[in-house]
Amino acid sequence: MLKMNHVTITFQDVNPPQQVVEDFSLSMEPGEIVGIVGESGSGKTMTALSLMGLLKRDAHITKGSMNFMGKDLASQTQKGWEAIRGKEISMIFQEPMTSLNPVLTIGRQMEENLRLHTSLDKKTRYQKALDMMEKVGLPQPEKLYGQYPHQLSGGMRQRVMIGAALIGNPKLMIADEPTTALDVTIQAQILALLKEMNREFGTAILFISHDLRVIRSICSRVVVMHQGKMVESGNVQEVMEAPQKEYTRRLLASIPRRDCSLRRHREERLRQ
Amino acid sequence: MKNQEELVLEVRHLEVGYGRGRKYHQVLYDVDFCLKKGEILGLVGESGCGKSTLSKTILGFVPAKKGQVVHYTSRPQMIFQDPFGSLNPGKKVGWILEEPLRFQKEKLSEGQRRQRVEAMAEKVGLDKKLLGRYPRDLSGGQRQRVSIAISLIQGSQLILADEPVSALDVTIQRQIMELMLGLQEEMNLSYLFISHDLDVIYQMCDRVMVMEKGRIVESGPVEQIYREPEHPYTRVLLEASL
Amino acid sequence: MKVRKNYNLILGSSLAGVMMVFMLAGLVYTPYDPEAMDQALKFAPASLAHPFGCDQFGRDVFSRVLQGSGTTFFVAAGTLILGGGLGALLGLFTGYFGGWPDEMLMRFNDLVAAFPGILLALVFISILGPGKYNVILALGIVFIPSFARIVRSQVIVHKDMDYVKSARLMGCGRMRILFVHILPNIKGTLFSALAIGFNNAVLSEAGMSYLGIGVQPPDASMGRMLSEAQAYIFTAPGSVLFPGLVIILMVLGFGLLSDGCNI
Repeated sequence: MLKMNHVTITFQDVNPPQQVVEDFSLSMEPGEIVGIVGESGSGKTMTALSLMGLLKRDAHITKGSMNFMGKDLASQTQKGWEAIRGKEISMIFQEPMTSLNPVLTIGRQMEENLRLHTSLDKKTRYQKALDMMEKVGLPQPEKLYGQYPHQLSGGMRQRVMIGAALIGNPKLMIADEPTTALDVTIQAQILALLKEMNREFGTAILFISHDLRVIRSICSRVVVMHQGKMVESGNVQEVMEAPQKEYTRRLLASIPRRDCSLRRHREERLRQ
Repeated sequence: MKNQEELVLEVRHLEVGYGRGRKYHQVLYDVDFCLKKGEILGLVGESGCGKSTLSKTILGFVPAKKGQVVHYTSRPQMIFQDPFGSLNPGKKVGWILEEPLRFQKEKLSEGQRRQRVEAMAEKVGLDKKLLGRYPRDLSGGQRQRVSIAISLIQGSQLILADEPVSALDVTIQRQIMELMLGLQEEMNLSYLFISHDLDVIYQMCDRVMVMEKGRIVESGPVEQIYREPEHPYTRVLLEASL
Repeated sequence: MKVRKNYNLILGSSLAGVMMVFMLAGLVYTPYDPEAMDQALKFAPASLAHPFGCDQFGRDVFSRVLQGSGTTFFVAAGTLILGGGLGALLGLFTGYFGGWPDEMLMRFNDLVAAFPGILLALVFISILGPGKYNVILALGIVFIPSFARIVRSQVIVHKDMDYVKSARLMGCGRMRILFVHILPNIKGTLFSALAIGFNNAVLSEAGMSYLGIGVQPPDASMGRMLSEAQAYIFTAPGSVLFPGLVIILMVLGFGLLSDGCNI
C-alpha cells in the first residue's frame, strides 16, 4: 500500500544543505499499525509531513521515491495533494488546543472532509458526522455538533480530530504524537479508540512517538530513528526484546520503568 | 507526633484557593503530609489536580486559606518543568548561577563566587565553557542541569522538582534522573518530586502521594502503592500507565 | 544556518546615524548665521557657497535647516526623556505590582488616548504658552501613556515566567528583579517604541511649529520654515524642499531602525 524507498529530505536553502532525513525506507500493508520512534531531531516529524505533502518550501525530497497505492507522492502537485489529503491519507496532531479551528463548530469540522471530497447532501453529511461522533465515543453528539473546541476537554478534542480524520475513510492515518499532551488516563482511552478504529475501518496507522511504551502498546512494527537515519526496524516485540543496535539499546534502557536499576541501587544504598 | 528533628517540611491541613467572595475557587482540600530529611517523596496526579498550586504554596508564592506550611530548612528551592522559561534568556548562564551567591549572608568576592559556580557546574556535569553562553545556546538537558545547579548552590536541603524531566528526550531524562539521585545521596537532600509519569516516580521516589482534584487520596511507600493500590483512582492511574 | 540580513536595522541605523550627526552638528555649528539677512542673495539658487540656496530674506537655507534640525533633535530628545522615561518607569511599576495603581494608570491611559495627541498638546500650549521647553513638556506628557502601556504589557508577560520565580527563590528583592532581571529582556521593544516616539515627536513638533504654536524665533524649526516659505514654493523651492527632505529622511531612518529592533 505504501512504499517509501531510500527517501532523503534536505533543507536546500541553507549553506551547506542540511539533510534532515537520510535514506529512509518503509513499507506498509493495508490495516497495519506501524510506529516510528525517535527523540527530538530524529526526523520523524519531517517524514510524516512529507507523506502529506506538508513539507515547508525549503525542504525537498532529494532522493528516493514514495509510492502510495500506485501514486508517486514525491511528484504530486498541489491539486494532486488536495485530492489525497483527507480522502486517502489523513493526519492527527499532538496539540488538541491548536489543531482544531477555534471559530468553527465541531460539527462543521467533522464534516469538512465530506464537504471537500464527496457530493453528499447536507442531511447525509450531518447524519454521518453524528455517527462518527458516536463511534469515537463522544457523548451527546447532537449537542456537541454545534459547540466550539474551547468548550471541550483535551481528550474530547482529540476524539473529534480522530473522527474528522477518519470520516472520509482514508486508507492511511498518520498520528503525530497524538497522546503526548494528554493525561495518562485519557491517553489510554485514546489509544484504545485508535485500536478500535483500526479494527473497524481497516485504516492503517503510522504512529509517531518519542515514547516506546506507547508504541509498544499499539504498534505491530516499529522503526527507530536517530538524527535523520533509520537505526533499526522490525517487529515491535523483537526490537524491544532483542535490540540489535546500540542506540536502540540506549533508548530501551532509558524507559523509566523497564530498567529498574536506578531503584534497586537506591534501595541497596539505603539499606547500608 | 513526628519527630521534628527528622523533618524538612511539614504541611498541615492546607486549604488553598484563588479569587474572593463569590468567585472563590478552591484548589487544595485538607492537604497534610511530612517530608523527612533525605527522603524523596513523589506527588503524582493528572492535570488540574492542584500539584502546581501545592508547590507554589509551599514556596510561599500563593497564600494558604487555612492550614500551615512549616519549613525546617532555609530557602527551599525549585526545579521547574520548562527548561526554556526557567532561565533568564537575557543573561549568561554563569551570571545566573552567580546571582544567588550575591544574597548570601556571608559576603563573597567576585573570585569566590566564580569559584563556587565552577565547582557547582562540575558537580552537575555542566561544561565550564557553557557558563559564558546564553540559555538559548544550551540543550534541554543542559538547561535542566543549570536549574539543578541553581537550586543546589544555595545550600538548601529541600528541593521541589515540578516535572523536571517531562520536557526532555528519553535518553536525557535518564541522565538527569541519575544526576538527581546521585546528588541526593551525596548531599542528603530531600525532594518533593512532582510528575504525571508513574514510571518516573517509580524510579525516583521512596514514598508517593496520589492527588486527585485537590485532595491526597492515597500515600505510602512506592512499592506498596504500586503493588497493592487501595484507592480506586490510584488503580485507574496504574492501569492506564502502559 | 542562513539568517536573512536585517536590512531594516542596517539601513535604518545608517540613515538614522547620518541624520543624528546632522542634527547634533546643527546644535553647535552652522556655516552662516541662520538669521543673517542679505538682500543681494534673495532667492539665490543652490550653489557651492549656499548648497540649499537662500530664502526670501537672503538667509542661507542650509544653515537654517541645520540649526532647525538641531532644535528638532533637542525637542524630540527632551520629549523622549520625559515621556519615554517617565512612561517606562510607570509601566514597569504598575505592570509588576498591579493592584489599584495599575487600574488607575490604565483608566488614565484610556482618558488620554481618547484625545488626538496634537489637540492635547495644543491645550497644554495654550495654558503654558509656546516655546521649545513648553513643547517638550506638552509632548512629553502626551507621550507618557503609550510608553507606559507598551512597557507594562511586556512586564506582565515576563513577571509570570519561571525565571522570575527562580530569581525570587534566589533571594532577589523586587526592585532588583524589575530592573536587573526583567528590564533587559524588554530592551528591544522599548528601543523600538523610542524610535517611533522620536518620529512622532519630530512630526508633532514640525506640525506645531508650522501652525505657529511650537518653537518660536530666534529658534529655527523646520515646521516654521515650511510655513514661512510656502508662499515662495515656486520662486525659491529650495527653502521648502530641503526642510521637508530633512524631515522625511529623519523619519524614514528612525522608522526603519524601529522595525529593525522589533525582531
